[in-house]
Amino acid sequence: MGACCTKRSTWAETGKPWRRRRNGSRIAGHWPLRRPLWLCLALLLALGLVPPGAQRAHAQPAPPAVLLTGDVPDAAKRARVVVILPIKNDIVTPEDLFAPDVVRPSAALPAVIEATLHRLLALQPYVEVRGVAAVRQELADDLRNQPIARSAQHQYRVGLEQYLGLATGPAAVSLQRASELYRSVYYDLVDAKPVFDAQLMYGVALHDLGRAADSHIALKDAFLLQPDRRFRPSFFPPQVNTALVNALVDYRSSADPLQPYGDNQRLRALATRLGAAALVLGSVRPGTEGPELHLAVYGTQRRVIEAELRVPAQGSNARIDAFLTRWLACAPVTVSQPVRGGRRELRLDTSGSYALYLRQPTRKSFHSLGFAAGVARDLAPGLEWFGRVNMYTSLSDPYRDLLHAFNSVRVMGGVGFTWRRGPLRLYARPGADVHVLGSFIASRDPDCKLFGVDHRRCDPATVSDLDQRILMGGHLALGGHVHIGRNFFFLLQGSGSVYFLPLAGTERLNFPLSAELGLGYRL
Amino acid sequence: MRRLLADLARASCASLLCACASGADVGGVWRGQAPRQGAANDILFGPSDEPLGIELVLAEFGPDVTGLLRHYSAGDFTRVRRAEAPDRQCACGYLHQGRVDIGTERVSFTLRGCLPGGATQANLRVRGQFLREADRLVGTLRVDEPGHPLHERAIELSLERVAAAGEVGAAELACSQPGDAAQGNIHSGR
Repeated sequence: MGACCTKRSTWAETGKPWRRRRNGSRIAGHWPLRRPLWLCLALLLALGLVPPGAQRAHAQPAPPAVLLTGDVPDAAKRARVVVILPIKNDIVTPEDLFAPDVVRPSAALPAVIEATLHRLLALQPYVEVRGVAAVRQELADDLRNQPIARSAQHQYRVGLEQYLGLATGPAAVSLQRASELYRSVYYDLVDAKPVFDAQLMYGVALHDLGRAADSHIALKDAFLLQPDRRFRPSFFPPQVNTALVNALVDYRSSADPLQPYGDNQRLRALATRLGAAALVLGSVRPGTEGPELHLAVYGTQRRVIEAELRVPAQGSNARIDAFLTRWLACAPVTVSQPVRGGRRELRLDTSGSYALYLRQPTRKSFHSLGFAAGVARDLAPGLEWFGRVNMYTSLSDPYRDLLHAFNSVRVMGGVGFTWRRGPLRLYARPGADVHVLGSFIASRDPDCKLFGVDHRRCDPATVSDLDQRILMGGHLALGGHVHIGRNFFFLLQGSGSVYFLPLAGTERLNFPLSAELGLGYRL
Repeated sequence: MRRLLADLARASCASLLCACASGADVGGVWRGQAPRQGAANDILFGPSDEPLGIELVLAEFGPDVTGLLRHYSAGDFTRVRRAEAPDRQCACGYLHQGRVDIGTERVSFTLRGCLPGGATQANLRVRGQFLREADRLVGTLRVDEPGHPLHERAIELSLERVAAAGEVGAAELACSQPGDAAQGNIHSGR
């Protein structure tokens, strides 16, 4: 309840979820702990959560915490996978660009910060941390990435040979392709050097082609991949060195330090690939009082940078700890089951139903109309059990091989696999089907139809008598729910069954297909 | 799997056909009079000079038809039907192998039994061929019994519908048990 109150009061104060703190950090959805108590109470009063008399009793001990609607019980919380991406080192200044042997103390800062992040996140509840090494290993071992990375390497070699062979135009194409392939599989996270090399040589090739503007952009993009790269002064011609310095200066002045791995779309794809709920990323940059750490958290649920931090890099452990704690307090909880109001959903529905049989003793299909009632309840995320009863009246076929209309009851049950997106909820439900037939009697002999099955003119051998027979078998239903407001939903379902019991009987009537359209309610 | 798909395709086609198809509407009770005994009719006639009444009860089930043919000694069908009436002799006979062509509305069937007047003690096979023309059934009954003197003899009939398919009651479907042909002309057709 405290977090809820804190959140709402600050919304009221600021009118926006972002609020820059004095120490430079910004927390999405986070508000200062010291807030006017009366504002919380006023808000609760407005929400009808406390009686008016409670304002005077605020100093009394708080009652035992209870779950409010929308709260999640601890048992349902699932660990969030938080992935730490390599912290970029933006400390290299233009002055150091051609001094590869100069080692600055700040060069070790990214590794230290990565280790700190890993240690602090590991202490948090409901967090599963994946460090930089694990991410690199996972991406490198991904079998989908390996052929693409090899292709990129090949393209780079071809481009380099073309460049050395003075075929600068084709070289630019090959090198650009190499850079794109590398980045498509996030190889810049595995090993930034080959990706940087491809992008760098692409920029150099463009420079040689006289496309100065394109070269500048390409070289600037190269520094985004590996900003701490340095060169020997005599490796490139002076004009290329000048272009590199200009690109680095431009990069340092314009690149967003909180998006060192590209835009949100790329982060989202990366998080999906890694199965991460959040990505922690950042960079170390020179500041007025020494190196500064720029840290950000990208959340996959909101698909935005959820929290940002900017602090002096030296001795920033406490700040990072506070930052992570605040972010986790406000980050959406991952639950292990569909929870609404703190419990599993129960769905009831009724529907109109139509069925026909793919195998029947009649020459023409006979149609079955009826209604169905069903119940389903969640067992786990994406899993449910279900039960369903269908009652049909089967009408006579055009040739009246079915001697008269009959009623039947089907009972089905099993488990369902569900997939939910927005108002749509799709499911596949395999299970068992027990079908109790009514007075099912069929014959193709016209004399049996006209005079009756007991008449001497009726040949008993032509009569299929499944009167009161019970058929059993497997069942599969595919369908979906569309939520239409409040707790109501439309239902559309198609299903089929295969009967295999009793052994004698299913050869005459089998393979029912049915379609249902109805309305349901979830509790 | 292939069989399942074939069944599915068949069921779909069957549903479509069934939605478009309609019967020939030949079901019901049809009545008419046989011509007087003479050159045009020497196989179906009564004991007196009175014309023989013919009643054809038809039931249609898709391409199949069944029913019975009943003979009346009175042409106006006014006699009460009992076991020994409308005619004590050769009262009725069941139709066999009845078929109807929905497109042409042509009905064909076979009778097996005696014929009042022409062959009262024989057990003949007679083929019926009728064509529906509005509310009439027009066609012939032809003896198909090789070796019998009446073989290939035919009689033309024009029957009028007196009851629709849904108006046929259980009484119209009653036909007495076939008796012993050797005992005389007292049995109905089989």
